[in-house]
Amino acid sequence: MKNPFQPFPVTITEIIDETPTIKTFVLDLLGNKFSFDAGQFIELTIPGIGEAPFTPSSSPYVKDKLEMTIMKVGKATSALFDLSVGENLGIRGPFGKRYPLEQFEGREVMILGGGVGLAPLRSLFLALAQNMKKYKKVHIRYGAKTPNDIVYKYLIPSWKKWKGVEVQLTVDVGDSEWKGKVGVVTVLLDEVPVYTKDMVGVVCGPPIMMKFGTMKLLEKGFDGNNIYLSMEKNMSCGLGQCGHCRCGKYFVCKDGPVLTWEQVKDIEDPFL
Amino acid sequence: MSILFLPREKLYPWLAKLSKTYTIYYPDSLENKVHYNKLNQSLFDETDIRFHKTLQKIRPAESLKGFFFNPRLKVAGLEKTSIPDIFLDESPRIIIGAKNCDLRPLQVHQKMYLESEFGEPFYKAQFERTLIIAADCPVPEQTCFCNLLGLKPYPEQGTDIVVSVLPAGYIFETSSNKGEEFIATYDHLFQEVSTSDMSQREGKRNRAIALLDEINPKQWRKDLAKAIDKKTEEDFWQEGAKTCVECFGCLMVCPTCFCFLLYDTPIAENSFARYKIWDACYYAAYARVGGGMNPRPEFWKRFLNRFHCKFMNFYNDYGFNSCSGCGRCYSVCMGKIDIRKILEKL
Repeated sequence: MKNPFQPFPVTITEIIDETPTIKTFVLDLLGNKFSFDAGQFIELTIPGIGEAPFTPSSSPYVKDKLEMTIMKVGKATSALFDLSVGENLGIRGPFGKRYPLEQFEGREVMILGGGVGLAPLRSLFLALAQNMKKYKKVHIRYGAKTPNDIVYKYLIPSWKKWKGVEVQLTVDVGDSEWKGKVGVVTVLLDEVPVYTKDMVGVVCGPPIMMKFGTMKLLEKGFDGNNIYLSMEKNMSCGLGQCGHCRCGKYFVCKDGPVLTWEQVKDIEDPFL
Repeated sequence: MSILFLPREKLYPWLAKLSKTYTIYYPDSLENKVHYNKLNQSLFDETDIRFHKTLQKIRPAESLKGFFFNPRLKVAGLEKTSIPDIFLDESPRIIIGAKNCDLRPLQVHQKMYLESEFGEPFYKAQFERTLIIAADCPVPEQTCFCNLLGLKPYPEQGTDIVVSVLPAGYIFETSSNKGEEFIATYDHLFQEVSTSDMSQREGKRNRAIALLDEINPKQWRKDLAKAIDKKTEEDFWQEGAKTCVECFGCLMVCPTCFCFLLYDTPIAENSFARYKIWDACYYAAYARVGGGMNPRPEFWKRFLNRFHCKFMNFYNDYGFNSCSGCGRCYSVCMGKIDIRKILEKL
């Protein structure tokens, strides 16, 4: 039996400053055998500090490197932000369930992201983009606090040009150079002309955005079974053993981290 | 499976011989409490008396949990790519005297660790090197409530061998292939069990069942999981937790609690050790995430979570409760919180 607590080493090869509090870490897998599916997460070891769960933001089809877009919020991420190119990290995983992409086929997919929540959605988006013909259309609706807080500013213009992809952005508070929409991310859902019950919604962002984003999708007629939510819980072991990520009847690390609204709707404050 | 009788005077010579191959743990009387102790040949003379008595007392103060799920265990490190040293400890051992209320928890851990997708190699290794000889529990005490969980005061499953103490000796009944093979090696020491031995055992077992029925006459409702799910009123759980001093001893002595924390500590530059330690869902930071969000910031919600875990979620997943009625949570509680009383009110 493999030791499920043992990480394998990886090296930081590039650090991209996304926003004042968000960075993308590009990791060389050092030839370790590793692959993941969109929706799954990994436990990232910051040596001597501890582990924290993150969902990769790179394409599952890229095998030799891994990108993780991470916001500085706690002890582990603060230590991570002090590291430089060339330093080592550890990885365990992948853990959890993948998005059931076969169920997305022939449908329109509405990706709703808030802040650093676009990071795991990028991985999903790139997985969809790999076989774009299978999907009717992919909408990306992304909101950030200010123009400075938008991640992937250098990638989004190219996404907009992809066939079958429609991208719209908004910020809570604009600045003198911002020409786009102003308002929370849900305002972007008013822009799509037709919503159908079989459209797929995928939501990831801060808890308050998850809550109101989900409510808006339901209001627009999305089926609770078709709304996929990235649940942020304390996923510590990743194995469904340590108990920390319990949310209702689920262990989010094992049964999630993506759960449908139908699965979590009866849980009191599922996004807390 | 076999049922055999071992005369009292043959037990200690046998254990002396076994102790050359196995590390043997037995229930010892220390400061008026029963604790597991390592059998030491120099203690054999006095052990003869203590052992016979302590085997008939209720479960030891500590459960079997720590034998398999160590309170603190090094499980990984970045420099190491192989499984740490502890995993390689395969020296055989025998644990004598566990009660039924300590066997059920092993089934809980079996579900959580060994039958999970990734497994748990450290638990598995500890389990595989152990032979369990569980004992009848002839005199339940006021803290005991295994009967409310549908358990009997004698081993039912999850042991290799069952030992029942009689005045003149011991009935050994094998309960697993491992136990059967073990006993077969020493079958020259044993005698056939007489009808009188068996009826003595049955009498003791029935008296223990009757005693438990006296201690806990009122069964919990059959739809306990549903009742807990519906009981969402804050007042009810606040009242239940009212005298809690938040020492969390109840969860630390609980044999079924399976939660653990992984924490890393630097041991040299560019190197660290990862430890797996017992954890408890009562801690305020238990479910808190890096960004500070906490699904259970108030204590009553964490108190309720314990009931959700043991009597609802685990039951719904596996068909039995993650509680064995050992009563340790009540025994250690400074606030005298008795979960029997809380569940009775549902």
